[in-house]
Amino acid sequence: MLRRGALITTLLLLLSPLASADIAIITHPDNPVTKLNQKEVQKIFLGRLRMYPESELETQAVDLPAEDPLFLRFYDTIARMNAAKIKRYRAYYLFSGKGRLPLIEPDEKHVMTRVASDPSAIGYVDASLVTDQVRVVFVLK
Amino acid sequence: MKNCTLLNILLAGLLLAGSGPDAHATENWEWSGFASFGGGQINRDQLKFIDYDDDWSFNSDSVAGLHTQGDITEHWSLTAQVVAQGYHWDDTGDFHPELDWLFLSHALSPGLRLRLGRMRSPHYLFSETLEVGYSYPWVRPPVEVYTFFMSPFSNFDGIDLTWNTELGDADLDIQALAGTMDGEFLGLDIEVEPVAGANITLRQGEWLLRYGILLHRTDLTNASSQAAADAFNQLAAIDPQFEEVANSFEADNAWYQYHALGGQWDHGNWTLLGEAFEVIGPDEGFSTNASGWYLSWQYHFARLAPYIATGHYKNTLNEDQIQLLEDSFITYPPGSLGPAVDALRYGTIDAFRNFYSEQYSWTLGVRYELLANTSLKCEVQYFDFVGGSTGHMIPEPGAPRPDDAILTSFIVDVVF
Repeated sequence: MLRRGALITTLLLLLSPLASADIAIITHPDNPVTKLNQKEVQKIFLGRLRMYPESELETQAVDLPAEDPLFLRFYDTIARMNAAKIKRYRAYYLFSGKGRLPLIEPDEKHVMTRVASDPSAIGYVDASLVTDQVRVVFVLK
Repeated sequence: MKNCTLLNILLAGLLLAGSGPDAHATENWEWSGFASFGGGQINRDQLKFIDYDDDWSFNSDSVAGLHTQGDITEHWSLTAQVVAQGYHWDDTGDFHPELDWLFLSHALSPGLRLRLGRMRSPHYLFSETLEVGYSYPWVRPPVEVYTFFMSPFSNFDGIDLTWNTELGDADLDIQALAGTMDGEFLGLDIEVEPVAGANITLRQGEWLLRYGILLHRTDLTNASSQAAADAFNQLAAIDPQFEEVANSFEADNAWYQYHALGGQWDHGNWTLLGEAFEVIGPDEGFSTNASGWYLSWQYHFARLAPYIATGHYKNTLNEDQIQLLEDSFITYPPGSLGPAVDALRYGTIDAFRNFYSEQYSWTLGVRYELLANTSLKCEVQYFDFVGGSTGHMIPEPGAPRPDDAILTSFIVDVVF
């Protein structure tokens, strides 16, 4: 029993780097902002920061569909919100005239393409997918 | 009048924006919407709540709305929202479309935003999304705070400034606004010029706290009570005190204060929500003093979220004038001024007392997520009426006033 427990622990440890890979927050390389902190990322994706800090460039958040596992991990990490909470928050945000909602791309590949082509875009992808077409401004561990 | 003001504000905004729509506009318009279909029934006859009575009916909470927003220049965007409600307090008819939002928005800096045009009045936590059932836990927000007499004040035409900043670890939002409002409610014509105020919202982790104050300079007229007001003005020749009663049928440039305090605690799978308000009226003229609060607790299972809520509401009208009229029977006993004047005095005391309303209520309900954008809510609300009033329910003329009533209702809310 003990040995089986140890085996499972070893397996989990081996798998953990894959199971919780870093999330890279990415922008266009021409974006004047080179670094963001977690609070700023949260505020951008919850619509509370409408321009990049110390710039005149408006933010365009690019999101994944609510069913995507990365969507769930991202909002759980930055705001401790699950999919249902995000849905209610966004309905409230949109219809109370506070601003627009993020664009939704079908998968991480499309997020990469969108961010690589739009200087105001900001998205999040698995860190292993990052190329030099985008700039990493923050990494969520 | 209201539309002229709105147009002027929007034109001023467009001038400020510096240019008309450009190429930006064509690719950026986003459309969304919401709809609710609800039904309800009261266990008493000759008693109404919104448009619900003892037969099942389906218009009171039903609503549909369409929302669009788009960029018109680099920093200016336009938002519009049209809403058709199943029931209106101002007799404009069922599902008559109304312009809820029409404003220009300008990001002045990363955390500062200016809006010009028609906006929802931010009296309470859910005032701005009152018609969007999906955005709150219940079939309708607790009536002890979201009282029906606020319906003429749903929108204002004017300007607001929102500042999103930080206070230590907490997020701080400050909104300041100024504008005008007008509307009708149960035969009262109401104009507010100006409305001005601010609210502060503090969020930290699981907590949210909000305080708001709005000041309304109000003109209030009531065509049906004009004859009574004239009669009291004539009686002022006998005793100047009656002039005070004559003035209490109307408000003329009177300042009313609307204070609201709200809080939310989202802890794991449950949410605790509470709000309280107080309206402080002027000492002269039409004077209403209202207060209310609610407390609500909801537990979130995967798709099912049961909730309980309780609240209290009290509204008194012209208390000083009621006292003054009662005292007048000591100075001028019944018969001394003639039967017509006695009828006027008794009738006015009754009319003012009829406005008194007080209630407690307890609600038990459940929300079920039918689809990713659709929820079904069912609730039973027990109303306990206080002091011979019928709280937020309205009895038919001459009907008996029960001590309590139960409203059963359901609603399907969609956002798209």
